[in-house]
Amino acid sequence: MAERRSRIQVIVDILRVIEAQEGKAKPTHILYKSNLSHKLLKEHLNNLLQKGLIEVEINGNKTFYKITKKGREFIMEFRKIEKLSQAFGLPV
Amino acid sequence: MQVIIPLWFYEYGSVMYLFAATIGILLSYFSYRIFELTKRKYHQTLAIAFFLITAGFVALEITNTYNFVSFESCAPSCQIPSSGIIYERNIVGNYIYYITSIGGYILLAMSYRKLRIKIGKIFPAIIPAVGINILIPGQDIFIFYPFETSFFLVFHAISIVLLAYIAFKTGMNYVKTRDYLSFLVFLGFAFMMIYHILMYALSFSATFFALAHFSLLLGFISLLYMLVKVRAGGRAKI
Repeated sequence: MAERRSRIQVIVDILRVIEAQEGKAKPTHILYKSNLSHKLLKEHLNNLLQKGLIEVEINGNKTFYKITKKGREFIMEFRKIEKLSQAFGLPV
Repeated sequence: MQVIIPLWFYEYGSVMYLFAATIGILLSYFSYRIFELTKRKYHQTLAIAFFLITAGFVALEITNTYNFVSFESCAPSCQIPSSGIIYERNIVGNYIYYITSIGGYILLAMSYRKLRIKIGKIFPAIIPAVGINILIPGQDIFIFYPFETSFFLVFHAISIVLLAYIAFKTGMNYVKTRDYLSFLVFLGFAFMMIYHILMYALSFSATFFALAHFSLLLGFISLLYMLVKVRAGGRAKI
């Protein structure tokens, strides 16, 4: 059974999903790829918006979430942290 | 057997301990940054562990520098007297190093979640250390440890046991991940363990003293290289 993800892992997973979609993704796509419930996803997305790691883009009646420069930098920093932790054999 | 430390070693030793302390504090800082993000207790434990190890090396560095300054007038080699202020300051410095190092190693071992160290399990490591001490002819192995030889051996014996566990866990991590960063961490702890083994075996040859410190230096160079590669965004896999 897979270990439950930490809060920070969930946040990074969401950001990585958006980044993988050329920096812009629909909420439903994020929902399926990040493996979260709708309620939890909404909470995390609001949190990420508040922190400035993502921003909303409305195109007609379609909503997209875009990763910001700060969000990309956060992913890069997290990668380094992840490598350091894993080098010691400690999961993030 | 007496081990007379030449004056130049105190200078070299001071630089080396300062280097080790610098790496230690960097590892502590980055571990704490990880903890701030993840809030995982073992990351906090890792940060505190490296902080304690750093404190030990700082104490040793200060002691060594103090010895170097004190003995410049009696170069090229001097002996620390067995009483007086220089002797006392050496004792204080070394005890701080012993206590903080053991504390650091215990916390490092505890960072590997599945381990539950009970203090009682450490005692079996003391018995061979004390036993071997009895076999060593004479008690004045170190001119500056006339009454602490047993404690010196106990400290190194306990350190060997703890670092053997840590090296084993990090070694298994490398076998699992095949990540060269994991290998560098394993090397770091393996060299630190070799340092303690050589210091423990000092009664058999004074050459081990220099080799031990060289091993310690290699260990911290390995950890520094790992840190540089992580911060520079190095490859995760070979």
